[in-house]
Amino acid sequence: MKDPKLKPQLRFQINPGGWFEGGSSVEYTTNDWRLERPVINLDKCVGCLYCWIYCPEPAIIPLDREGRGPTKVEVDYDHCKGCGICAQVCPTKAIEMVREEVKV
Amino acid sequence: MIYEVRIHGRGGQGAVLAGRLLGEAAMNTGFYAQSFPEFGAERSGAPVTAYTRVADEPIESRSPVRYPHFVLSIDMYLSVDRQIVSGLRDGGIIVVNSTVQPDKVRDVLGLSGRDVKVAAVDATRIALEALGRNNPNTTVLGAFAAVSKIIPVDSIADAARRWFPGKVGEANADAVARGAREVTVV
Amino acid sequence: MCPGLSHQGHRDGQRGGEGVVELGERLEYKKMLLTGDDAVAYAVKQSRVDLVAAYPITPQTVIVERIAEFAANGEFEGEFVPVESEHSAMSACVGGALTGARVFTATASQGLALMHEILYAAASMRLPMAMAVANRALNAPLNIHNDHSDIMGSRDSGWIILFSESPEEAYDRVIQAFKISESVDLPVAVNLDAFTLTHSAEIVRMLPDEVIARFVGRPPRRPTLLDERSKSFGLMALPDTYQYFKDDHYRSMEESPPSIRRVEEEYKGISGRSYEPIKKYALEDADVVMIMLGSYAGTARMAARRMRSEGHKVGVLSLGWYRPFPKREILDAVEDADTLVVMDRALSYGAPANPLMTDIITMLYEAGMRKRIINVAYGLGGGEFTEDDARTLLEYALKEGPRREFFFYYGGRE
Repeated sequence: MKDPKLKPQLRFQINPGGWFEGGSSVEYTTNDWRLERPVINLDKCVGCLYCWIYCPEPAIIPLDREGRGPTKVEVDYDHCKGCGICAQVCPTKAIEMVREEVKV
Repeated sequence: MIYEVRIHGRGGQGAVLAGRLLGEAAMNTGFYAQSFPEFGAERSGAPVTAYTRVADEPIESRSPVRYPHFVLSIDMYLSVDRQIVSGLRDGGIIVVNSTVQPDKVRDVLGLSGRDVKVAAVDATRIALEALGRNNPNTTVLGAFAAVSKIIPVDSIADAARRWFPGKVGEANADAVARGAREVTVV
Repeated sequence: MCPGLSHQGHRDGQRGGEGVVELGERLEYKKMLLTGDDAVAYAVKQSRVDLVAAYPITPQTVIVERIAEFAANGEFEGEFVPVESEHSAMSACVGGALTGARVFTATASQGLALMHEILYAAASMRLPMAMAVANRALNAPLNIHNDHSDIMGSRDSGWIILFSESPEEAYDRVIQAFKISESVDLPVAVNLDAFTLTHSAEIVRMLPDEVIARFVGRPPRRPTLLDERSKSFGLMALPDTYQYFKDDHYRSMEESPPSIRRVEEEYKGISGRSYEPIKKYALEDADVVMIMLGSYAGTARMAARRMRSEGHKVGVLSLGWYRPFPKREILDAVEDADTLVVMDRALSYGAPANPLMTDIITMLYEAGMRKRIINVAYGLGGGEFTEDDARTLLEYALKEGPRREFFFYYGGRE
């Protein structure tokens, strides 16, 4: 018989009142939420950062922040959910949405 | 008799609606039916679970389904996630949306040697072709109807037509039919 | 400043001066004639409160006004935030407490009702804070006078709930409330009856600023919004985790009595004033015990005293703590009594019994005690209750009667 007073152990610590260490959403990856992944063609990218502004996650990471010239970007695929807004707003059509395939 | 169905998908794909349409089709076939989702943070893309019960007598239990006869996976990633077969009964059926062959799916889900039917259908592709968007729910339902033979495929298609009047309904009815035709079973 | 209220007397070593009384070497206080509202405002000023966010509502208004005055005069060191509603007041207190600040608010009646939603957040987020509730009836009909409907409506929000019987007790309990709440991580509501306490001026033996300052100290460190390493508060907990938080909150209330007792004892050390979970009057051999909450307990004691002198075995028990409910103490006190008169100043429509009656009867059942119990709804919306009224009820209870009964006691003359 199961003990009716059983309190299952949780995988994480519960703090009184329910506070939690910040940054937990970094650990929560959403890389398997996507139907399509954004692929950036850096030859076409002019570094306008529209995608960076519009990305709701944010999963667009600016590159070369220290250097001169336009800032190019890359995608944080661990947290990109594949919404495709970046591809929509890109003025030079440098972002292509590519179907994800599940391999086993 | 009572059949319990658990449906796995992601927010926005139509897992909850799949449960609902299955319930409607069951009702129109003459069964008692019940359909409800596992409520949570409603986010597009987050894992979602929905339940449907189909029975020939009134259904009194309103608890989540722990030991399903049938598992449906609408999402291609979840289709190869072992968590979805938790509690699946012997003699049961699992229908997944996947490009992976069903015998391979059986291995991945750890169902080798179990008395369980595994069926797979490339529902994402069919949905994109038939509907122009990523809603593989009706396709998976069509596949499930064809494999389980409890509720006629046409009943599912009718439920989809009633839910989406006009062109969208026809497109979904088409997706149901294609799911039923293109499903492969081992 | 309110005229006639000097609060400088106890400063600058004016020992032995007029109104300043020395208690041995260390205990001293200044006698002042203060209303309950004034007394609470002084308690807040002395308790090194960082944030007061409040909205005025009769009969608590004076508390807020007085603190605003203190702030305007530079006598209150904390932040006074006038807000646009009680909902905002409690929300601001939650925010303040999350920064680690010591916070206070005061309200009454409809104001407490408007806070209702956030009361639960404050309690289940385990935030220390103190609130004074000037107990007042709820509409309808519109009524600004005293009963306990307001706090009974918030009874199950998970706050520690204390009752006071005099302006001085309100002063003392508010000071203690900060320390209690910070030692058990639960908010504390101190109740004082509308008008009978909030607006009646009585002698309050105010303790020196520095004594209170030392007593309350600074709030202990806890995780806050301002921490170097960021934290999230007030998160969502779905069915898989929610119960763990409720379990934790429930346990914290169950385990709070020793901490509350410790603060009461410490306070006795600085003030010479002793507080306990219940106040007992003539209970040892009492056949009839009247059980009460709030300011009319004194009236009942006066009646009981006279009846005792006439040879009637009657006593009065009043509760200083309401949540956590002092079961053990009450049971010990009423064990030998035949008849209890349980006095409710709030109703629970359609319930098996009214709030205090429900608590008492549950407690007796658990202890296997069977007694005659008379449940009386009295003093609703400020309904008058005098010594004669208490006597009428006690005399009634001394006679034979049904084992259980309930009635509205209207009071007034024949």
